[in-house]
Amino acid sequence: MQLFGKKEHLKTQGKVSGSNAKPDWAALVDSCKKGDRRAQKAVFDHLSGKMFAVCLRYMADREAAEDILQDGFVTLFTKLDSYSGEGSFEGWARKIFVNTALMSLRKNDVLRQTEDVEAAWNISADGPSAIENIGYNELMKMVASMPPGFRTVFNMYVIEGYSHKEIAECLGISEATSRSQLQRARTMLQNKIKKY
Amino acid sequence: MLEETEIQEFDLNVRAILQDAEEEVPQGVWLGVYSRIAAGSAAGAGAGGKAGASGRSAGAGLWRRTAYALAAAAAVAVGVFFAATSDKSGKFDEGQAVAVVNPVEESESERRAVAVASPVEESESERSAVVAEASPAKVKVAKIKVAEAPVLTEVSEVTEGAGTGAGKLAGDSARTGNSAQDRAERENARTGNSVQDSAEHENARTGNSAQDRAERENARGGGNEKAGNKGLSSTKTDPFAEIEREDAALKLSKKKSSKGKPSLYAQSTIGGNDSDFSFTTITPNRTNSFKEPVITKTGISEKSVSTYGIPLSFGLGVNIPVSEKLTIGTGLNFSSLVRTFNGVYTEVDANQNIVRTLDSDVTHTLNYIGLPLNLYFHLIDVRTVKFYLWGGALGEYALSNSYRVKDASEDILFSTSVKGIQLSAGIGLGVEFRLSNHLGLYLDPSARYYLPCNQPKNIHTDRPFMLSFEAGLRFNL
Repeated sequence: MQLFGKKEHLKTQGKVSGSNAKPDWAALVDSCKKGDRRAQKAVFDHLSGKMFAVCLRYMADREAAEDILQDGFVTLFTKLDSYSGEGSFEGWARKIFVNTALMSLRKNDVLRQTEDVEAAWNISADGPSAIENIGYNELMKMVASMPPGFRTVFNMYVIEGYSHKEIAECLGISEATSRSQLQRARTMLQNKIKKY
Repeated sequence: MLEETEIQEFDLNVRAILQDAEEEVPQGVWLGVYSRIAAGSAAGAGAGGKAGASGRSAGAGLWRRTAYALAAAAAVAVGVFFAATSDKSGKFDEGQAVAVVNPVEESESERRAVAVASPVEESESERSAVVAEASPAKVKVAKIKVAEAPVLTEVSEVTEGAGTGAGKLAGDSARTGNSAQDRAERENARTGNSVQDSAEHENARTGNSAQDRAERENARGGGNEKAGNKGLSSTKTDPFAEIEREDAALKLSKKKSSKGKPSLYAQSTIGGNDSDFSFTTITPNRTNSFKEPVITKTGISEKSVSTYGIPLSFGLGVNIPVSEKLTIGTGLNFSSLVRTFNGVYTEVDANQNIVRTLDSDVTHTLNYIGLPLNLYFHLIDVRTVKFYLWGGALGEYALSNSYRVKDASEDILFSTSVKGIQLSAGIGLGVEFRLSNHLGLYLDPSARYYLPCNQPKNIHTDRPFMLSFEAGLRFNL
């Protein structure tokens, strides 16, 4: 059952990437560094869809996500020299957008608000959730409806694959807090999925 | 509590759905990015990033945008207004009789002036100094107030209409006038810089671990990324061939999509190129060229010059994009032209005997319904602001043409019908501030010429060329 859900998802993914072949990043990045506008546009076109999804995942509010997307791309193009050429360019780019989003969240002190809701989420989930029935849009809505602190830690750990140590460093919280936030976020999401 | 494996499975599932998802990117983001990196490289490699970032700060929300829009709007309004009102004092005719002032109008003007905050006071004192030098009469200061107030109230009205409750903002930005904009920019530059700084800091701090993380991601992500990398290295093609192909494809899709969607608008227009347009420099019209008063039937003849009220118009309509750069707009306008003068009302019965005459103040109101047809040419269109040129024609049909003659007991109402269509042509430059994806506040200063169309005497027959100021809201569908 789980597999079915995953397959379905991968199928649509295949369709997207099939029509949009991966570009030669190394050559594109080289041209971008020389200030080639066409290359910059190509990079933007290849990445903007995915990166907007990343921004939306962190910001929840479309308007704010749009700002992050724009700021992130400006940073990306101005910091292109710091890309070593090794490792996935998309992974490098993604980090920039995540960082931009985190900075904005931190600047607006959104992450602090999580402490207040700690008490409210001590419900435990008692079994696996029926996530295979959930589509991307529904899941995004659920993620967006989580408190910003939960959402941030959840995104960083589960989707981006940061360790608790890194999350703690990035957000200026303790590792233990990161762990508990993640656990609560996960429980909250599972409950939302169950209710769905 | 869930088992560890269940948690992992759950995480993997969520990750599979969310990790590589794509969202449709709103229009204008690329332009915003490009203008900022172009500005950055123009400012030199070192300061480049900072100059770029100062263009717009991170996380500027609806409020900040609204504040900028209002500050800019206030600046535009003040600018337009001063451009329109300066150097008019010389235009007063020497020895011209002080025009008739309708008491109703005067109280209205007072009310407006009260509604406006301090900028009027400031500009008023300046203005009155100028007028005092030019010396014709102190009444004129009051007149100028009439002319000056509405432009500013216009702004605050629009604010209320926007539902942002930012009346205070409007007041603030209006009070500080042009300097508000400066300050906003300065502040913007400041926050922009610091954002950039912290970006550098952040990058430096986390930069080294990028590689590690990417690798770990690959390991966790079930080889998705790896497959991608493999495909990447095996398809080494000429990057520019691909870019060109994509550029072409993009242009094609842009042709289809970037026409944009239609929008609805609600607008109000205020006319007046003269601070003194409540006076007329035309001498009183005692000849028969005034159409209505003919003594063989009931009518009014004018004895004095006319005092014109500010032409006001309100409208609703729709803008339909026809291409990437062009939009056609049409709708319905309602406009009201009011003037007062001193005249003689003569009532004549069926046998052409004069029943009575009354020498009194007359208020003449002409109401038009109009059908505009405008063409908008977009010059600059970025995410938060849009500049355009527009031109178009307006046909107006008089719905009513009435004269109210002041009498001791009960005012006499007298009206006649008007035939024909008043045609006019206008051109202007417009700016629209996008307050959100669906709402824009626009300002269109414009010039309009009214063709002679055999209409009853009104401000447009007296002053066929008129500068006006339109402001409104556009709702993007």
